[in-house]
Amino acid sequence: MSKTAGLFVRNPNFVAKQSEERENEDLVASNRLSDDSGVSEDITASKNKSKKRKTKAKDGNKSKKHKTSDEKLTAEQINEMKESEELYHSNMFRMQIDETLKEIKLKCSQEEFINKWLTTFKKFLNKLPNENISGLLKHDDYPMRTKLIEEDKKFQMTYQSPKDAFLYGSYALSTNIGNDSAVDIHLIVPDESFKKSDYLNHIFIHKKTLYLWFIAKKLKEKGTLGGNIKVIYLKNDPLKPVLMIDAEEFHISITASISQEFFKLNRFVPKTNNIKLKDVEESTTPTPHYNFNILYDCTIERNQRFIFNEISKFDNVKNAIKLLKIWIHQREFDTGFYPFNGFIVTNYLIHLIKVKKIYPTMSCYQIVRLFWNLFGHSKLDINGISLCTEKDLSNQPSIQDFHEFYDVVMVDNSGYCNILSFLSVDLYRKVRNECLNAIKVLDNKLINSFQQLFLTKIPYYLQYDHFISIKWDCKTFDKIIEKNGSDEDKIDYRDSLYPHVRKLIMNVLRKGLGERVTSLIPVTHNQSYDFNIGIILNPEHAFNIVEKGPQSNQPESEEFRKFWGNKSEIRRFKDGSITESILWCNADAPIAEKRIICQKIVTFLLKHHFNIINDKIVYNAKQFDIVIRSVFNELDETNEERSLAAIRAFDEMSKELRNLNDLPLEIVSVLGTDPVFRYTDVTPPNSLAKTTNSGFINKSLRGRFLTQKTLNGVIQLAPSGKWPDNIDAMKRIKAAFYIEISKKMSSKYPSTSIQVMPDCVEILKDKFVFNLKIVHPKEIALAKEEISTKNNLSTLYKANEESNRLEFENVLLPKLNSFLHGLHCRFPSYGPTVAIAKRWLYSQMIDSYLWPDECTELLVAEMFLKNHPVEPSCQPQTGFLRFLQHLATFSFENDMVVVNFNDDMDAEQIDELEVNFRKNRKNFPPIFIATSCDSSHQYGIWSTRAPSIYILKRVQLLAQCSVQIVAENFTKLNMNVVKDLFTTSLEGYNLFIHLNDKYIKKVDIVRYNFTNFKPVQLDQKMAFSGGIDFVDTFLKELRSAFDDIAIFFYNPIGSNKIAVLWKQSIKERKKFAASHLNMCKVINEQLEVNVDAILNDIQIIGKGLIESIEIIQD
Amino acid sequence: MSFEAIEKISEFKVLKLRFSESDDEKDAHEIFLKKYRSEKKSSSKPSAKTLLVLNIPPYATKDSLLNVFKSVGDVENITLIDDYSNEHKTKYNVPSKFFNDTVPFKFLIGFIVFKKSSSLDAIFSLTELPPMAETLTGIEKWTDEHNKKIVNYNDMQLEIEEYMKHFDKLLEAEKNQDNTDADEDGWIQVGKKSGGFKQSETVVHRLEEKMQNQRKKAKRNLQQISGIYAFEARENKKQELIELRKKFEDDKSKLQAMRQNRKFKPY
Repeated sequence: MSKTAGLFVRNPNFVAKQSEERENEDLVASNRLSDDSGVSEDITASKNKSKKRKTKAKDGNKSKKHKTSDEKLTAEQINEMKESEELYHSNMFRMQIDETLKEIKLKCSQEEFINKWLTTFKKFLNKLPNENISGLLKHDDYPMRTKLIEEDKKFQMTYQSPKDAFLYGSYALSTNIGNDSAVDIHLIVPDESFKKSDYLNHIFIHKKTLYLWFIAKKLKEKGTLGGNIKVIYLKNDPLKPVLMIDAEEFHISITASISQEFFKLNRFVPKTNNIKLKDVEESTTPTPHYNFNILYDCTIERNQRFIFNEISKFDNVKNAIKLLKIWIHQREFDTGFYPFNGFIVTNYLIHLIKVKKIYPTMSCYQIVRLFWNLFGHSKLDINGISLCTEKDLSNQPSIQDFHEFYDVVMVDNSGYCNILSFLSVDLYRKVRNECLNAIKVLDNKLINSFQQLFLTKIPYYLQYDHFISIKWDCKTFDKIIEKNGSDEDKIDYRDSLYPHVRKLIMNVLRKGLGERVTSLIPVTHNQSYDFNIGIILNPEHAFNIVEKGPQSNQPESEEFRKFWGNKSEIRRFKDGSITESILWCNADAPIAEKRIICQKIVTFLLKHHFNIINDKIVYNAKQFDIVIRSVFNELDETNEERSLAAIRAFDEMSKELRNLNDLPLEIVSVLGTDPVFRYTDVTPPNSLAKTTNSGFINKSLRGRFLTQKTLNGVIQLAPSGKWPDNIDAMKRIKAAFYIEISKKMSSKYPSTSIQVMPDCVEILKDKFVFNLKIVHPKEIALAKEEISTKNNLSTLYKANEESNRLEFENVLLPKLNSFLHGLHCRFPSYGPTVAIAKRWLYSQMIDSYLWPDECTELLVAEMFLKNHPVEPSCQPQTGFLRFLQHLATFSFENDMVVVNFNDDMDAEQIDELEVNFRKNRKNFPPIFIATSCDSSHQYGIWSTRAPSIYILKRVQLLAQCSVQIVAENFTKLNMNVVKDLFTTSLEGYNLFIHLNDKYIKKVDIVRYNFTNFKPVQLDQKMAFSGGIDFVDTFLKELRSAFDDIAIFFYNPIGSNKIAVLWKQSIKERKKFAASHLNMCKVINEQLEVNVDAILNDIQIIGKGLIESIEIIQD
Repeated sequence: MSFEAIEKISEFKVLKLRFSESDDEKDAHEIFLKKYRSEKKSSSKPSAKTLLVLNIPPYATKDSLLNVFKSVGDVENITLIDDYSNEHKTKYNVPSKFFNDTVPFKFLIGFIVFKKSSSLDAIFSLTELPPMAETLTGIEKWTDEHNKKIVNYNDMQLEIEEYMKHFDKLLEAEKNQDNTDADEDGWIQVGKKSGGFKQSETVVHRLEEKMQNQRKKAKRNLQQISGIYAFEARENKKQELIELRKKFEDDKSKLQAMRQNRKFKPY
């Protein structure tokens, strides 16, 4: 396309040809030049110019307008754009790639610094004396945990300056991605320091360590080359010592090895034994993992050269590697014990080039995409690949030979070393999955996929549904190996504890969890040895309450019993089979309990097989459930069960209502609007409501129903043209309907009680009380009516506060409710996730007035709907943490939130909205949420009233702090962390209004200060009458009166104080004006807010409810 | 509206309004009093007898204010509004036990209509006002409001029937006023009563949208059949390029915005 793009604009004759050419070009599009197409571009440009000149005359003044705008774009730009559309997903995508690569590029000065440093370092090494350093082995601070297998008197090691020292890895290839990854330097120790047999029994490793440690000591003495000098384990492998130095902003990591020819590589084929223990007569046990360790060192130089030859010339390949590395880094697959790092990516890409799936001339976008596609479908765990082109090396192992000893196989260029020897097969599969996900994200045209793929950080603690952390403790793990490890493995994994334990534990858990999980991944971190496992549940099977084993008379049953110990029982099932099986919880257990069946399984298996007791395990799954858990129920019941009960009662009631067929107008539908109906209410009522016989609850408060809370809904009647054009008349007709409904209901369904009120009916059904209003579209139209101010005559229809409120409550909310209810049915963790999120906001004294509940619901809904960068979690806790992260990092100023139910909005619509949003940012609220259930002329009604920019800022700040607390404590998450997150600081407020406990609504979840109310009895009269909430009414009045001068903060979950913050305007003195004198007093002919009087007002408004007002002096 | 003109403090009488006898002067709001004047003549608010009061605290009611002002003279009527824009909106209200519009809980503007115009002058010589009558606030008030909603529906039905009868009569009367019958010459008088052609904003919007869509569709159809002549193809290409260019510009500005927010720093 690029060649013709500029041409056919002017040249009419080109049209016919063009279609042919397009076909051709499609064929070659995939292996087309992009960045390197400098030559062809030049030609095009010049051609273009000449054509332009020719056609100019022809066109004449016919298209003057177009021309002026056309000519702003040069031919080159047009080419680039056309090219981008085809080679780069989209122009936008390409520009973002360029920007990001620019951002991570190393500065010249930095490159210079590294080179200079290397030269000085070499000089330093050459000056060191040739000392015998064998003695250091016995030193107390010797950095290796491993000791020599046998005292070897012949063990001698002398320092000699290295034969060579060179940069390798990402810095040498310039594929580093500007994070704090280390600069790798490799030293070649002269042959004289080694003996030919040193590869046996760790001797080589010890010598290497001594060599590096000696340098470290000397470096410390000198002290000019950098600080923080230490010998640590590379990739957490205790057999891989590495010398780390911090120099300026770089971490420099120095490895040492021997020249590559010194050991014959065929000594290290997987099945050979290289650890010879004295007491074992004939050492034939294969030591594949030890062999890999030595091989890795011996092949560094060779592999480096190989990679350099293959890719150094191709910038696009290097850029692709960088992008992929960023992608991996954002997902934290590149940390800890033998992670999935750039080295693997690079080798796999070279493999793809070798098998001609990728051409180095492709654009970096195409390479990345092909990588994802091909790696996503790779089968390295079944049929590995080799980068070695030679076929007849001596003793060369076949791919199958490798598979016999390693889980995942990718053989390096030497043909002997499997570079994935230690890579966890689970991690490999996870990465594979992520690759396929990435393709899906790329194909979704509705989102900015670049941001999601490369610029969004997904820390490990947000990736998994469950997360297990076992405290690292050598003794325990030694014991586990002693008891569970096979003899062969004990030799092979000698002194590398982690991979051995990993193998044992993962095998057991994988077997025990089976289909219940989609991913089960060992997670490690640099320089931390805690044993962590992340679990992603498979929603189809994770909540099965029974583990069905083999039939009890079959031979496999023995093994089953052994694996599950005393948990296994013989059960008869409905289909008549009698099998070994395990019941994890009762069929009628709450959903929250079913969610943690996997936790039960894991803790049981760890105890049963490895004797790891509960105290040593931190199991992250339900810590945060406490904030929405019923405190008066022994079971782990969250808000879900109560919501479900309420919904059932509501459905039953609405059926009854719709069956009342002799009403003047038929009831068409009864829709819920209360958060309970979408499972997102933090405190749904218990099914405890009842009528009172007396009709009087106590002396002063009347009412027929006792309930914790009434639930709201709307009634829609069949359309009729007879409704009056007058609001007052309408009100009365509606009331007449209420009376009619009540009469009919009482006669037809006497068990359902009903109470008529002037503006609604209350219905008690199945121990829940519902509050229903009739809605009619005409009301909204009437509310919009106003008389024109111009001529005082014509009627105008204009949206105003009242009409918006009506539309919101009568039309949009029922619609939203049904959408969100549907969403919860699709993702059953949606409701509780929102409930925890709301509770978190409440805990910061931000109630639904300051931050509408619907905003929280929609923000969470967006996370569940968009399915990326991670799939929705099955565990509300993870959902909640992701919500916090989203809140903490999302830029509401620059981006809008689109909640696209069923993808009802198309890309064009969203684009249009976004352009408008960007252009007129000031006309949109601080958080702009557009949903597909908004009315099309008015998007974003959900957040128009609140939150204000100040509340948004505060919430984001709080979210950032919370995320940090979680990140720091994730592997030791306990009640204190939960309390920290859900307790707010009381600093910075001007006033506290202390409330009388008697009138505070009782809730049956844990209270704001993590204490419980005493179990509430229904006959504790005041609190329950008709669901009345005095504090809420008080707040409404306060806010209505003083919104201009103060913000009121309150935690609606049982808190006994309201915090007040004066707005800035309160301190100003204003010029006198009749329109601004509310709440003011006159001082020197100027107006000042009369604070004393307002304090008095608060006392008056809250009479009886207020205990005291505390004024904070600052 | 008439009050938007700049006013001076000297035009107002400032007095303290105490909630109860025991209240301290210091904690009371200052209310601003002035004789009411309006360009429009209003029978409900005769300018000679009406007092305008500003900055009335939200919990004040007509009854509680009555106590304050009756000391200077008999009060005929008190109106409370929260905003001048509602001044002329006050609809005629049928007294009702069940259906009453509530005044928003805000600082209020009051119109006190005295029986005699002399009372109006008397007020300007006062230095102190009597406190408000006992007013329900807090728990007591909310309980009362709640209780009022618990109604006997037979009473309510009676009231509704009464109202609707009245309302229907009113409608009937209005209808009769409209002379919709053709006169001698066959002309039908279209008066302002019928309100002219009404169309709500949403409907208009929807219609506009529909028309726009149709227009777009028509355009698309036109484009589909074009391309027969060379010049058309040329035009199309040109159009395509212009669109491409526009998109490019959009992308660029988007990118610029993102760059400004340092969006491209991956970590």
